[in-house]
Amino acid sequence: MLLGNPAFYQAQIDRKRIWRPVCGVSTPITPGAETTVGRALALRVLELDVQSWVNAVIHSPELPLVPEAIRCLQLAAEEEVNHDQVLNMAAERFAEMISTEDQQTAYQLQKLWQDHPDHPIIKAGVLESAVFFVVLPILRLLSGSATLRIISNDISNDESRHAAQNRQMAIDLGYSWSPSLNCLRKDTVAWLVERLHIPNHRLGSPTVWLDASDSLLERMEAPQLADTRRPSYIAFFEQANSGLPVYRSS
Amino acid sequence: MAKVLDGLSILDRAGQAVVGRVKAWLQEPQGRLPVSCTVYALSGEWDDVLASWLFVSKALRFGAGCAVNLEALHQFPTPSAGEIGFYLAEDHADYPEYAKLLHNCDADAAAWSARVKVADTMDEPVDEGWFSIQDSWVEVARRLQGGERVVVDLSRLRPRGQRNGKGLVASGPVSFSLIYLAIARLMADPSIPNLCAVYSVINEVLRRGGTYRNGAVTLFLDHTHPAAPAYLAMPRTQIEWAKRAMVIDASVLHHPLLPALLEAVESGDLFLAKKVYTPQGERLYSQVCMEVLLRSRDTCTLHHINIAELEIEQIPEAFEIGMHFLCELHRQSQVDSLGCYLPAEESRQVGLGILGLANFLAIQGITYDTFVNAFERFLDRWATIPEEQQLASLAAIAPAETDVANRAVLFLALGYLRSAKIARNYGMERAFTIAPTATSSFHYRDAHGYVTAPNIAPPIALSVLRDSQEFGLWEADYHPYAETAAQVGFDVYFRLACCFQRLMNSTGLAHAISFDLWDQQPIDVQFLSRWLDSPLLTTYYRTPTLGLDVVDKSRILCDVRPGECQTCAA
Repeated sequence: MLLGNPAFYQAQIDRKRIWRPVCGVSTPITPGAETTVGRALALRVLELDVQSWVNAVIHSPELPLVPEAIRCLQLAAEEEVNHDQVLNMAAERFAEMISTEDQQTAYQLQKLWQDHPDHPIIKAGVLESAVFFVVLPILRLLSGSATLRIISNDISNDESRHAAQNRQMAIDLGYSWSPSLNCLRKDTVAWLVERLHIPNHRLGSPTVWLDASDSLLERMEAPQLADTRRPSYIAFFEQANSGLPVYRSS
Repeated sequence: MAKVLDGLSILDRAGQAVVGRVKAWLQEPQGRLPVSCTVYALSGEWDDVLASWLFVSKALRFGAGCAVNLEALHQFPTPSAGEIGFYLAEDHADYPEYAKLLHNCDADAAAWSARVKVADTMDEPVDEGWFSIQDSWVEVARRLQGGERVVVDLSRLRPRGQRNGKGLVASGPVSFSLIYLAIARLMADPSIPNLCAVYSVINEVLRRGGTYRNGAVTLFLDHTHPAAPAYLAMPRTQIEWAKRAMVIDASVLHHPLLPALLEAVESGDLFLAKKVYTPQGERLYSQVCMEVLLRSRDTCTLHHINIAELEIEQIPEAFEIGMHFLCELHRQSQVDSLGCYLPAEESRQVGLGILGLANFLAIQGITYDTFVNAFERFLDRWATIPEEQQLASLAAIAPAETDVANRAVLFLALGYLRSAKIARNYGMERAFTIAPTATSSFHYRDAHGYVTAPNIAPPIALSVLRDSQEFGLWEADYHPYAETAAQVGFDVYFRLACCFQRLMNSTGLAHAISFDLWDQQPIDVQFLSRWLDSPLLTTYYRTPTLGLDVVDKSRILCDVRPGECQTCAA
């Protein structure tokens, strides 16, 4: 018997939005968020790991998931390429924000995620829902850069679906994360935000992001990130054309 | 001026949404009204191209938008073998930045046939042998056209960021060098794309080089122009700070350009406009935001009715007050004192629009669908009533109407008719528009205290962040009963816009509508045909309206029916 609720997975497929990677001009970053933004971009190396894990799951012959779930995985694998591409563009544009040391640390963290023995779908689910769900709002609400905000919006379209479907697949397949993966998740987020310091900003300290990550993993919600519910209404004339989003209706 | 109406300030009147630049002027009405958006239609002469740079520059420095219509430009000079170089004194504060990008050409001075010395002023008179910044663009272009090797001496330009004591912040020599480089590329390879790049760079440097100013550039070309394919094919990076529009007619449906045009509109890279003429056959041109139709060098003066603040019965009076105010404003603007814009007596147009319709409908308990149905029924009946009887007929039937949607439509039409009479008394040829109000709508509130939605459109969501690199993130909460774009649907919105255009047309005083194309609507031949057959005159941005909840990172989303979602149940 195939596992999973087809309606749930089909709903995720139906929510897919086609977008094209765009990256505008380099802009100033909010004072106090520079290191965090640089590290958020350095952690882009984890995007392709998610892709490879998803691919590993798709190609695993014993995977007893409904076809809709497999289609979700296929789409996710394709979409991670877009994420990698647009984040590489951003990393190039904001190269001065990413120190060599931070990029090396990001690679070390990547290696730890790659080598971790938990099932790939669990690693993807934890990374998407409790690390990328923190990275994206940081780029959107704290970076001070319209270029990075648009990139965050675009990736968000996919990541919300990915987080939901990966978490659901883990449940369907009967997997759960190990304490050591949870530790790695905490360490990754702690490193990401450890230098964050924006005075008089509700989201300007590390604690709120650490708590949000814990909450997203454990309860699948983070009320402290309620500001992210507001969609963006982009002031098109105030943005360079190359940074304007491109969505397709079909 | 502020108290022109019964001694009461327009700023205190219900339903009057005064735009920012006008509001600032009303509060301190010294001198002329700040210049608003304008249009320059090229004559086709190359010298006029050079003149257009100065016109665009002036508009941008006033913080205004400038549309440039390139349709008439078919003749270009032959490619120039000229060459450009730069000089900046080594003791100039910006020299280190300059030296990273450019090098001084003085070492081999004899090899350069001309030296254009740039004074530290955009357009004020300068010492003999020097050029203002604007004039230096023309001088450089002409010398390059003559095949000369030109050194541009930037040493007198103030360092980047330095203030001049008149509130202006210097863009700096490095920033300005981008304009000369764009001009040099144009003269080496004269073409529409390279000309577009010049306008784009002028906007980039003037608008963003020193302190940020509002203002924008939109370029127009018609689909039959030989350069139209190249115009559409320009990558965004070649035209970062100018928007592209294309003037089309029904022949585009059988034109080889059609697939590229559809793709460009679908991607949000192209606005569309139909050709519009006055009853006397004079061509009118869309301005930057597409909703106002102007003669070349005319300027637009806008004012909006915040309908969200009004009861239904208050609408006609608000329109009358708004139009009266706007026409007085137009009469007293003195923008022609600048010498480059049409004087008020030749301008003969203003733009009265609406914002907050979504809030208004929410407060009145009317859905968009119901409103549009009532609007269409009204317009169909309206067409059968002789023109001289329309106003009296409306005034008689509107108060007696009991259906709230019908009543809203009747009083709205009454507002348009009564204010049209005022506009005609002032000699206006055009007076009604629907502008984007993408910024101004955020500054106004409805009768219940919520932020007004832009123009006649439903908001994309009930709570949004306006995202601007210059002004950061602004939060806006719309009326909780307002319908969103996803709920309304593009078809109803399209029909609504058609209704407004038909109503404006019925007054004989219509401009156009900045008509957003939502992502719900594929941009295909079927849609283009529908738009071409419709009364709508332009299209504007490609607006995302669907699936916007996915930016929410406060919960792991799923949207399956309650009880079906195992994630939520877990």
